[in-house]
Amino acid sequence: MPIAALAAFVLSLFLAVPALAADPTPLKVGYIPVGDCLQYYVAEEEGYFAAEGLAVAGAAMKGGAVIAPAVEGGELAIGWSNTVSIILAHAKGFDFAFLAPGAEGVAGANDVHALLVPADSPLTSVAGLAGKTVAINTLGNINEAAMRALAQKAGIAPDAIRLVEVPFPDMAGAMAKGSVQAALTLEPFVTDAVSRGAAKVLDPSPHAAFGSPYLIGGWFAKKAWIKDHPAQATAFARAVAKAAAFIDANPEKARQILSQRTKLAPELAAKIVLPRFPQRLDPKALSGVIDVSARFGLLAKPFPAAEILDAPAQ
Amino acid sequence: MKRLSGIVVLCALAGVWECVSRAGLVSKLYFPPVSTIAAVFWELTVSGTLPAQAGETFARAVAGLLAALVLAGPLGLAMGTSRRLSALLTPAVELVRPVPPPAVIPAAMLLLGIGTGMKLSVIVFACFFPILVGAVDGARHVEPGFRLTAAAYGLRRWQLLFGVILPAAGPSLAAGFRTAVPMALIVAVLSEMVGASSGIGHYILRMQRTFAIPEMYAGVAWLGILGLGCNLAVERGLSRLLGWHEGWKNGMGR
Repeated sequence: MPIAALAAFVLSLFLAVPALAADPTPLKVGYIPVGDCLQYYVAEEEGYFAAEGLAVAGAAMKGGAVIAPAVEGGELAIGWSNTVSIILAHAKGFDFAFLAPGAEGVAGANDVHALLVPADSPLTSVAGLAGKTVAINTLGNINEAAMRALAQKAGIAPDAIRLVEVPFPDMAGAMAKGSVQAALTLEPFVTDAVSRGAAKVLDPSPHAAFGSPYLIGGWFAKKAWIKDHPAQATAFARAVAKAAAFIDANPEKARQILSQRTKLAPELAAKIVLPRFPQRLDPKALSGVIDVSARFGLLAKPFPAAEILDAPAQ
Repeated sequence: MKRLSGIVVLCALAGVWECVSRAGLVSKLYFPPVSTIAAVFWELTVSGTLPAQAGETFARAVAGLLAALVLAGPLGLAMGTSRRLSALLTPAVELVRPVPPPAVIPAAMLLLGIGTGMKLSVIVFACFFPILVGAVDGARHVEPGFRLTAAAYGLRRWQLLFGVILPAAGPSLAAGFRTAVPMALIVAVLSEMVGASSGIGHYILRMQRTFAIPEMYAGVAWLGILGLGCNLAVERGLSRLLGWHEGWKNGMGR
């Protein structure tokens, strides 16, 4: 009897599958709840995912290095990652590619990152950080490459600065405690700390070494997944491109959405620097990041940017 | 013979892993073949990279463990011999003891930052209670006859402590200490996974972050070996200290 019950249960599972397929299949997407992923919020709020026939289920996560394993394992179909994590994963044999651009940085115009020191810090230059400890959000990512490049530019050894992993929201506290002497952070934390008088900017363009513009991060998936789900991949790329266009055309509304979705105070959301959201993947915006990663030993040797681009035709 | 069959099982498990990985049943990137990991392990060990990181972790764990022994050992013996002290402290101990050490890391970070002080205090916290409980139990269960005899011979307090209570409580104290040894390593590694720039915990995290998966497993393997080595060393040491003890010989030790 239990065997019959089990068989009936298993059978019912098979019968349930076609019934579910009538609705749009949920598309699981991993993102980081910061301004860089604004596209995701906008696409949801403005109904761009739904308009493309996608039932997107989002998961807020810590960073690209955590999202990537979930994409590799198939728990997530698409994820957001900083470019360096995907570059390193590719070099180690992971089958990832960007299918849509995320945020882009333009030196001097929209620096969303900044290197901060406590307001009362005696430091006036990056060179002074030799032998000191600096907080970054995850090790071995775009911010580590940037710090190594900054150190070299300042005339000290690229590894003269100790890097420790501290989540963005905890960086100001770590600086106040004296656990770290500086922090490479991004909006809204830059504007928040500086406007509270807790910190001052030591370097306003810490990512300048990547060239301009450079891709901060983007939406990626396994190449095999993109190949097997061309319709979903294209639909997703179109939805986030629409969101990029919306942000470009309605920055005020975009800030409002950011404030609502990340519980960011509206005054702060109105003040912060927004990254630029391009609508197309530009290989040039990636090659600078690849070169810098290779120069500082994160990557054994550079490779053509096209290897990690798999933008479906829209 | 027993040891040999254990090694055979170990080799068989490694063989299964190797086959499963090579056959592509799991992602080769996340479960590289054992042979790949072994090669990386050897390379990183010979170059001194892993021993240096493991050494830092080991030093932190030992420092925390010894500090906990110095703090919890005497306190436990005192609690075990004094009813009044025991009544005074037991509620507090029982309230704090069940808190899992990893759960105090966030609080320790807020209070002490992310430096060595934070790491050491969390290790001390983790090791404190097993040692304390072992010491309390040991001192409490000293045979009354021993005490009466000691009193009849007019032993002084320090003589009673070092001549009677400490040796009698030895196995129980040792059991607490042995429980604390792996705790010290576990918590040392955990504390290195937040805001650290050295140690084997930091190394493993960094390798995961940069997708250097065989290197990550090599770090984990080093931890296994470190833990095994510590346990063996502690058992040897304690056997030497307590080998004369009936309770130890009769199985409390093993």
